[in-house]
Amino acid sequence: MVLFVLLRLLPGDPANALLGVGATDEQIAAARAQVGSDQPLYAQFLSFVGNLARLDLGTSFVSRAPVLGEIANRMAVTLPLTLFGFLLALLLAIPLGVLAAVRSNKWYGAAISVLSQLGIAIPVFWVGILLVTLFAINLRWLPSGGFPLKGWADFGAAITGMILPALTIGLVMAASLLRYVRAATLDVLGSDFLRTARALGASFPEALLRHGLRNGAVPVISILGIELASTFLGAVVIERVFSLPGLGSMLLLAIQQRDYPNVQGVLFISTLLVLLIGFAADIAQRLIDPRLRGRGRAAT
Amino acid sequence: MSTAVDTAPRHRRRHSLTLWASLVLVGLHVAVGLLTLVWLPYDPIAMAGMRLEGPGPLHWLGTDRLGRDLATQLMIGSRIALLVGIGAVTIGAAIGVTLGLLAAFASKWLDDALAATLDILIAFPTLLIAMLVVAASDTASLWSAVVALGVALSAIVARLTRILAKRVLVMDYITAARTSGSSWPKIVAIHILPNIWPTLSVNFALQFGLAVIAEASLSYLGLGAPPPNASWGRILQEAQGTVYTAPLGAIAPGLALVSLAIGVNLLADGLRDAIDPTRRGR
Amino acid sequence: MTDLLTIRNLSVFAGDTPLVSNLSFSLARGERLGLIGESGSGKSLTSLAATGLLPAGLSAKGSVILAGQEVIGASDRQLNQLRGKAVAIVFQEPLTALDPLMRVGKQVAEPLRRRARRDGRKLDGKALEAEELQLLNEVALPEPQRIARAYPHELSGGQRQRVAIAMALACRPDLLIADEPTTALDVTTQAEILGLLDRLVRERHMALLFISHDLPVVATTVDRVVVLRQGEAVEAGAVADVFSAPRHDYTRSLLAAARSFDRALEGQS
Repeated sequence: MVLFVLLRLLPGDPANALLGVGATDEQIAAARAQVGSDQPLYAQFLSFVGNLARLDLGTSFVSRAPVLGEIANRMAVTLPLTLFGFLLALLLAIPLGVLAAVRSNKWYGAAISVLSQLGIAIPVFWVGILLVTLFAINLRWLPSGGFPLKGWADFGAAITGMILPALTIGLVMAASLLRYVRAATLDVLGSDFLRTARALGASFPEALLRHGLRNGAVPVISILGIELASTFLGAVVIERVFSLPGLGSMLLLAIQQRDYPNVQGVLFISTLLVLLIGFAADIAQRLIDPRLRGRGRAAT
Repeated sequence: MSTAVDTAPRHRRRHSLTLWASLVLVGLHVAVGLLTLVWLPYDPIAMAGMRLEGPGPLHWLGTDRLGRDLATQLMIGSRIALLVGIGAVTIGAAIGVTLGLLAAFASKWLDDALAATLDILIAFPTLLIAMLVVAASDTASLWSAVVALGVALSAIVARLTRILAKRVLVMDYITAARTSGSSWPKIVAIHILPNIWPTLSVNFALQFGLAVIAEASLSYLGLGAPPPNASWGRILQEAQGTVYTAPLGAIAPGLALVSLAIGVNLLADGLRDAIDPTRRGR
Repeated sequence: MTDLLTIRNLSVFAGDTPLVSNLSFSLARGERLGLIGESGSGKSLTSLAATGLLPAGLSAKGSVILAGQEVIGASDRQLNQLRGKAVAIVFQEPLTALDPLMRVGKQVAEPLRRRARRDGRKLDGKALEAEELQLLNEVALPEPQRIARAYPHELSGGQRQRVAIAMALACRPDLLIADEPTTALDVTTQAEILGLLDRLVRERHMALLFISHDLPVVATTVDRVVVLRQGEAVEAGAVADVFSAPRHDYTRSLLAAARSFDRALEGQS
């Protein structure tokens, strides 16, 4: 845990280094002056932490707007988008994954498997483009992109703006989750304890539910955590397809504009998110699997 | 007592089918890519026809919004994709394996720090890290994309190498080699690398597909190389605005991407089954 | 014929490869039969085939009549009526045979509750707990309350196997199949578990199908044996007969090997 706290410092340093790579001299000088890079490193860090305590992540070079505020705005888009997509992915992946495993010898079980292979080979933005073409342009059911200026205040428009991008994310994530669910289910199907349960009279669905569910969930949870964490920023491509003002776009823009405080702020918040999600997944696993308790983190 | 017995004939049949399919798909792209080195239907950057023409006898897949031949672009895309894949994976391997081996040999404190850093890096999506590197380097070129991807991929390779190497290091034959006087570099070369190579190469194969798709995403975001080195992602980006009138421009590159990615993934699966024959089907 | 289990010409295939060929034997109520053979002789598969639990990819041909019901080709629903009622199995490796994420007490409770439901009773709460503990007591587990709250990985191998036996007993089966129940245990624990099984089977008048590769163990536990070799029965008969005057070469070699092992041990001590 201590190490993780230490590593939180890092977002500041790489941001600095990256921007230094391509910036012009006067930009560097301006950045230095504003940020105080001309001061020794520990002083910088102290002021950063100090600001943090006051929930102040600095102000953008470009827009002069407070970083935290801008991040909050973007999160209002990214957070629901990611969560919707994630939920959709779960709704698709879990039943289909289990089905693919249980009926792996039937044609539809194998077909699901093949489809998931396809799903991980498809670039997510292409799915986005295809969906836009179909639903927005050809059928005109849904908007092709954009998010209302008033944000969630304009609820109807916000929701409709979210549907296609969430669907895109959900479909692609479902394909990769499906493979893990399927593998976990296959493992459970071949397990000895399932056989014991059935040997003592449990029906197949009963045994699967009572014993298989929990045992299968353990490896899947860690994957879920990773997938969720990587979708927050990874959605940047989706944001481009659908012209959504999300966190990923903010980061990209900030880098291109050498907007150091923005970059640092976004990286910091996202590291925080990643750590939180990892933590939550860890806890969830320990709750389910008593073998993981009382031993600290398993060595990898 | 395990009663797991393979239904060998049925699974083997299915496996060879997918293996053949993957070889065909990948081979197709390799062939096209190589072909582009010596011949192209049209000049990739010149206007060769009317804008946004549909498919016809002159232009098999039509033209893009600037009148350039789409088929040519697609073919070049094959070459680019292969280069990207090979380049990124190689760089990722070079950095990753080195780091991983270092971590495996390092003192506990350093090793823990490295492991934790790697864990955090891995949590960030590959695309994102590549994005950061490319955007920071200020130039949109093929080379910067490849390097960026390589860097992004190296974290996973490093972690895998570290785990595998550590597992090998505690084996008895390493101790035996040490007591017989082998130097560490020799041990690495003779014992460690050959043992971890099979698993690593399956990983590389999978990363190949990832790299190609990631590069497409980078190009789509505008961070990739412009024509004549345009990759499929770039074509998709340019075609997005005109997808209603000229759908082929948006569909064809996507299909190309998918076909290569699937081919490579299936190949990786085949590789995995080859090195571990005890796997009970998929 | 009121045999509990009648197996006639049972064959188990993996694709086209036969793993068990033309096996026939029968078991009456209260009888004890041992299935002996080396690993790979198909003895475990026989018990799995007899209860319809063969893993995917394996198929069975022939006839297995258990408590009057034909098993081969029966639907899962029909088989569920048999499993946990007419027959229960104790497997070899208790660490994997028990659900690692569930407390042991709850795992024993499951078959208990099922049987109660079948008898038309509702069993839960305190009553269920009481029966759980009683069962754990019967398999000679000390401190049944503590054990009931433990997880499988917190118990020793012998304790786990006792739990597995308790779970099987909870079904009050007519036939108990013990598939190498002591192979994964150390020698002292083996003796204890064997004694336990012997007592329980006797007290409850259960039929016992005991599967093992360990000849002395089988000799002390059953009345009749069937010797399997590569899926085929090579000899059958009463224990005393087969062991003192084996008719088949294979049986002879097995016995010789076991004896020389014993002699070697004696020579040591």
